[in-house]
Amino acid sequence: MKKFSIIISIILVCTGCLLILAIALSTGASHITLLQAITGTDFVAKQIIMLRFLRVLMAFFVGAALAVSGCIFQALLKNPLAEPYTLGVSGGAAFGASIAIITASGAVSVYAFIGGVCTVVVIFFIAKAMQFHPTAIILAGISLGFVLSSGVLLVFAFAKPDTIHKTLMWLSGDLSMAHYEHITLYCMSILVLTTMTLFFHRHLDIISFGTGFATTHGISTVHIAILFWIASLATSITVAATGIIGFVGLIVPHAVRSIKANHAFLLPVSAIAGGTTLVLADTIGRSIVMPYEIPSGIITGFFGGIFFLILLLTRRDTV
Amino acid sequence: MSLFEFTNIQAGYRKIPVLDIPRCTINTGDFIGIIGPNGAGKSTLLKLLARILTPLSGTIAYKKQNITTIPHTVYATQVSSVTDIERVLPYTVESFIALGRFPHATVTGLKAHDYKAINEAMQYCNVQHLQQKKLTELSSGELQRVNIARALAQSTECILLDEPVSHLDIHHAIAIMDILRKLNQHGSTIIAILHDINIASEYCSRIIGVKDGKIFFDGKPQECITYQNIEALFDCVCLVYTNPISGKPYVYPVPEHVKQ
Repeated sequence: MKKFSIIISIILVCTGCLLILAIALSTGASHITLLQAITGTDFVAKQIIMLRFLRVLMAFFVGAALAVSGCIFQALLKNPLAEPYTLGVSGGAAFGASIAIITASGAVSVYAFIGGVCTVVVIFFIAKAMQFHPTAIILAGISLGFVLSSGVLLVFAFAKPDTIHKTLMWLSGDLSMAHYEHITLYCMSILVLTTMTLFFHRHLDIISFGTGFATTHGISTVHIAILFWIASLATSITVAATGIIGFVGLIVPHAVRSIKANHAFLLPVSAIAGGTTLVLADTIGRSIVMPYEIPSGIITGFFGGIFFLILLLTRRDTV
Repeated sequence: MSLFEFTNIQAGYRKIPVLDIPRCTINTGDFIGIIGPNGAGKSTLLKLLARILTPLSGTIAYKKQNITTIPHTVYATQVSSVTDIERVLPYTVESFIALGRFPHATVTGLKAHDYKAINEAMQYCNVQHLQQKKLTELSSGELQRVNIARALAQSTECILLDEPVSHLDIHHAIAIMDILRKLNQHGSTIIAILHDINIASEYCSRIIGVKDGKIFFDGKPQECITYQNIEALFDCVCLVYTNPISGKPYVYPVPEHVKQ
């Protein structure tokens, strides 16, 4: 009976996801629906749908990457409040990006990626020195985050107002600023990284029960380091591609975990749910005040926060 | 046959030694109860055996082989441990016990013989009826039995337990200790930290008293649970009698005689 209800819920979720994807493809500044583009012969309509498709694809992969990294960090750090940005990757990326935008160097993603990865390297060595003690890593990440965000504010102090606006838009996670010429590279690398995590679902199960528990089950620091790097790289690449989109990496794993905690279920379902959530957020962002766009990071933060509060109040046992 | 052999072991945290064991041998088939006051180094000793902690100096041999040369995954197939679960997550009992098979099947996933071991472990600990329940829904006694079943699924060769019955009532404590005795009779080596001296005396074949980071006494319960030993170990005054049924010693504390 329980298995039956799980199958039903999976079917419902999948249908819901497909529906959201169809709506996302049919929404935009120009009134062309998915159906028109498929059945009609209008070349321009097909082009517009293609552009929307790239954007939806990007949003889906970004959401999936963030949700999967969130799952991994919550297991590694044994903390339900951990998320992809807990270790300061966002701070590093923001620092890199703001320098790139303000000095008009152009390659914002490259700077952001370098900033993110440098932060990861620093945190990794700190974590190693602390034998991957979760609380110590979190504190180190938060401290580093503070250092980097004051760095960002320092850069702002010297910048021209118009570049500050551009940086702020980037910081709030804006899919319209993403570089769609690199979308294949981005999606491929996320696909590889998230697929890799599936081989570690049992490792993650064991790691989430505690450090001693993991050691006595034969988990070594090598496994932990691999998972750390997979999650950190996925986050760094994502932040470099689209800026800082918050909350997906925190609420999605949480919400999915309330159904089932095993990582064999948690990882793939979080990926799908995270992807769909961000597609939805992006669709809302570009349709409520057309033709203007609200960065998806703002939408996920706003609605995600409210959703999380509702979840907290209704299902106290899961948090 | 010796299972563990300690040679000049010093262990501690942040390079400060808290445990000093020049020589100690644990044999296959032993049922060891480790007793001693809080902070004496009992948990440190168990952590060394579980390889959660590496000694500052000295060597531990497992089956004549230096423990550090054995890969963690291989070691985990032979020695399992039961400590309080750091985070009780909403996993089902069945999937939690299945985690015990992880070291046996890191890459391949679970096979038929793994499921057989899981079922046997559940039967042994009498938790089959809890299979589909979540860990978060269990009582302390049930959770402890499930945790032991997980360790049994992992390995029945040698089981380390850190205070397995401390927070349980006498009924559930006896149920757990009976499981351990049955395992021991089937050849498992059991090493448990116990706070209840009487339970240790009743069940264990060998008692190790630890005080101030040193082995204070080591032997059969009948030989080493004497009022002199227990009083010196815990700095208190007590009476020691013999249980008329089992012939094992038991300890009565005398109030208001704690030595500062």
